[in-house]
Amino acid sequence: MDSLPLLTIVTFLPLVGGLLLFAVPKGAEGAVRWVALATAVLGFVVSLPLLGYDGVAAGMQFAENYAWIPTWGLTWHLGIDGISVWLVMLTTFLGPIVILGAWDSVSRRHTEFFFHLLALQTAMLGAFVAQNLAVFYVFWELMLIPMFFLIGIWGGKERLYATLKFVLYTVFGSMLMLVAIFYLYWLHHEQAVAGLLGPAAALSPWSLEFTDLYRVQMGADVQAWLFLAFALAFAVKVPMFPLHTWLPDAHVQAPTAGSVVLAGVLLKMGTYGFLRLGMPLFPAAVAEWAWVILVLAVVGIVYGALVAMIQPDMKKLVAYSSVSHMGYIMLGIFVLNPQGVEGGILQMLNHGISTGALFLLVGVLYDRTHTRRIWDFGGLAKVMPIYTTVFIVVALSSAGLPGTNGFVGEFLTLLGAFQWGHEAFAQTGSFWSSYGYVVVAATGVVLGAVYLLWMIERVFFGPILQSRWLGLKDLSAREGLVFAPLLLMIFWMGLYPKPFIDKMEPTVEAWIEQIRAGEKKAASLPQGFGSPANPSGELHSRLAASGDAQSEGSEGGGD
Amino acid sequence: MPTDLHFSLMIPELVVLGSAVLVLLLDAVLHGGGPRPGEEDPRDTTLALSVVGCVVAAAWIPAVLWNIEGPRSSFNGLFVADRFSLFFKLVVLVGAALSLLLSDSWLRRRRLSSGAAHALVLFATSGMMYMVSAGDMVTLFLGLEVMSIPVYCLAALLRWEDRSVEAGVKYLVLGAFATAIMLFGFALLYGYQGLVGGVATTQLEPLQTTLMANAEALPLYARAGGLLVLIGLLFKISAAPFHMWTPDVYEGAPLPFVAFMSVAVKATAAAVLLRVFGGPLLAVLGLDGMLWVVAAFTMVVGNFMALVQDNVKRMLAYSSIAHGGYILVGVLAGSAEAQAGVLYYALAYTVGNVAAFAVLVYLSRQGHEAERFSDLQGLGARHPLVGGVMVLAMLSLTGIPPLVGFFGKFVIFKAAVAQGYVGLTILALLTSAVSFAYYLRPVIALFMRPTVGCEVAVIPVNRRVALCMGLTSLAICALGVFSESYLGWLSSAVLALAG
Repeated sequence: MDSLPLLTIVTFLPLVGGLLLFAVPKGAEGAVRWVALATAVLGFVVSLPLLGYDGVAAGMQFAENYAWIPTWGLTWHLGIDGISVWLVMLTTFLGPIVILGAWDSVSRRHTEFFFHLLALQTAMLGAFVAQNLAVFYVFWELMLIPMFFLIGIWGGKERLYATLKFVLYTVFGSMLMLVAIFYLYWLHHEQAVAGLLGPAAALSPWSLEFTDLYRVQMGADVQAWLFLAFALAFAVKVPMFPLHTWLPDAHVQAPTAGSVVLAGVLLKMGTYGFLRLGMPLFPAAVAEWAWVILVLAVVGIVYGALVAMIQPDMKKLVAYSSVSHMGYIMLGIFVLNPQGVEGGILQMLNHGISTGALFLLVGVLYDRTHTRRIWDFGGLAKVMPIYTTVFIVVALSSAGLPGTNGFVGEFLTLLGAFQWGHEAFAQTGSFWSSYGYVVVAATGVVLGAVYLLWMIERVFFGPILQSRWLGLKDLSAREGLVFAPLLLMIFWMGLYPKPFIDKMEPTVEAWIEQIRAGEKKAASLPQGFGSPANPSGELHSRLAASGDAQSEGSEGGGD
Repeated sequence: MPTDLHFSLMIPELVVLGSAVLVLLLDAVLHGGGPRPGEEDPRDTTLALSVVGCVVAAAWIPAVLWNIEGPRSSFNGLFVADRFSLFFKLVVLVGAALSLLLSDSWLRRRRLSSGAAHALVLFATSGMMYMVSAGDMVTLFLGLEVMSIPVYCLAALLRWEDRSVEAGVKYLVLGAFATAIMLFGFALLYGYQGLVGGVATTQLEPLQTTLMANAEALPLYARAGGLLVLIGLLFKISAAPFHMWTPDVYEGAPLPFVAFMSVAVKATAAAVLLRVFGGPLLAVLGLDGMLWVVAAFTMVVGNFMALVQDNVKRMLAYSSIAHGGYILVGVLAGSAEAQAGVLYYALAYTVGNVAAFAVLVYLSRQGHEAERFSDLQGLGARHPLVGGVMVLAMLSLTGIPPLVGFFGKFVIFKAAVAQGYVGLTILALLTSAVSFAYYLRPVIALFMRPTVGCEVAVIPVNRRVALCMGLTSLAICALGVFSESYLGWLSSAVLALAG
């Protein structure tokens, strides 16, 4: 197993399968679907060994490291830790479900459709397993293209507007991040040459390895600027209030499969970016500016829920519920204690499963009725009992009913936020800047129940308003096959989340430790350390040169 | 009397010139008007000859000249065949060969004689090759003229079409102005070299040495000379505000030759910029601030004006202006790494742009040029491979990894940040985010809009254009990912520039 590049295989298998689709002769749409499904199932099966991730030992496993462009210090470095293993599994798990869900609903250009779905899967997996910033960026940008086509070709009426808005929002964030990447890249080079980063780094000063970049030393002010650039890119993707406006458009216009992937995995890319890059790279900036993120997170929770409540379109309702749920994830991650972070990560998985399932369910209804307006429906429980049951279970899991996955995630997140508030209260004594966040966030739970239950009531209960719904078919066997694994996961993660938490716990603790340590280290550096004028602290050493002789490779003006 | 006559250094140029002359002769002998019944089509012969000329010249460079021992300059320094010039010659030759492949079907459909057009491309190419090899202001100027005049003619090739004539005349008049300005700059610098440097020579190296040695006390006329030369080159690279000719010329000129000028002229201008103003000279002349403004302005104008075009050729014209801006960032940064980045970028831009034009040529059909976005509508579904090439070209020009265009930006902006141009890099990347909005338009037209008209004419398979598309697509996909295999060449090319 050691020699087998498992992560590379897992990453590229969908793309290879997608390219194979073009070899299927024209007119054989059935065969195209089967090849796509087989690829996705195989992708899931191949990724199963990753569950052998050793949860006790934190750190990167299944690592692969090959030279790519050594002149620039780019390496093909992949690996997973207790956080990314779950996101990889989520992606490969949703792969076959999405394809099976889109089985009949694509009316034209099947080959391209399934190709883009599979290519998208490769791009997402690549971003989750990358351990080199260049590799990450490649996949991060690549992700846009298949989604651009999925919305733009197979989307609804306003698809061009929606898909361009999606691309442009994301790209503006990414480009600022790219500048910050170049800056970090250069800073690492300067500090490595100056000997600040140890002898190993001095040998290869150009590097974009995550682990190398984590060690770059920056004052809090420099970190704040770079954090801003990274945070913008990730916040657009999450999306955080007020950068979320592309999301409802994209979701409403996207075909069902596109929505499921978008909500299920793509949005996680933003929160994962914070976890992997935004926070560990700039811990001092996080300490200083976390309150902004926290405020935006709770605003997003409540705002998303309130706006979801009044949506007439089921899909838009689910889209806004995403804004709300992603707010929980951001809240959990940024309170920086084990409960909160674990809750946030669990919530990432839960949201992928529950919201993905909700989009699939809305898609099932839309395929049959060609409408998504809530007021067109009523009393569907009488004609589609199984569908109704599934829908209610999924909706309740999304609302966080105990016994379902949503409860565990939300509970841990709120617990983490409460603890954080408790500590903050001891320091500041101000209620609203400590407990306030968890209080506001908790109202989001109530609101979540309100909009979902209200939608359920209007769609499934009461009298059947239109006679044309009387003949609606209930879930077919294929659709049952789509939802069965999702329901299984909803209850598994709700009733017995221990295996999931166990595998991520050491990683999360090490991660928090890393950020705390980085924060302390940055606090010991003077302002302006790492700025363009003063990349490796010579300025400070010269200023402080009065007396205290500094040995070579010391921390500049810091220690 | 020059003592060093190394004609062997000039073999690629001589091959290109020779094939140009042969093409002209053959065209006259073989009745350039078109095939007669039972005769071989003479256009095939001239095309084959031109392409073979380019390929042989290009193959000669890595096979022989790259690793040649002994002197690399000839004719008393008038002609320099260092690795730097060799790299650009390769780029220019590749651009010329691909454009020749494109031009064939286009000329055929218009029932035009191809011999003259092919010969013009070859003459222009040889001019470019002399330009990048110029070690002397005179060679530089001669090369410039040999390049420019055939390109003006190519722009006006459709002499019965007002648009084409307008393009040619506009290019000629503005180009002549730019050349005159540049020549005036040369004159001032020559005078300065004679007065201060002691030896009146038109050679570039002694001039640069003199300028550097007197960096503290440069008279105004020397700075002005530098400025005027710079302006002449900025015109050729179509940097704003000297870009006004570009969209009109691109719109009016024949499609395949627009491909040629957009890549080859720009690469040549970039090479000469590096040769004349490379390294610290720009700052010594006090022109770095101006170039900063020009680069910023070029990127903004190019990217924003491209947004509002309805014509794909005009859009590509503004896009080429924007790419000129990115190249200028590399020139401005000036480190060896940045210069290598400019070389990389020239290559990346060449393959991306030629691929885009190849698709336009392919989709043009009898009486129906693929020029407006509406002309492309719905064709992607019918011709997915052709559409796919357009997608690759556009994504590469936008800078989506792992295509070669991304790595071009990567290496230039990496170097720019390292030289402290963080603000300019932010501007560059933000404007390149804007570029998504127009580079995606051909893709949207091809794949996401319905076909216009009741039926689409069947577009015949065109092997030559398809070959061009295949080669460029392959290059777009592979050149970036396998950068490591040739980065060493680039740095050795830049090394030649430094000393």
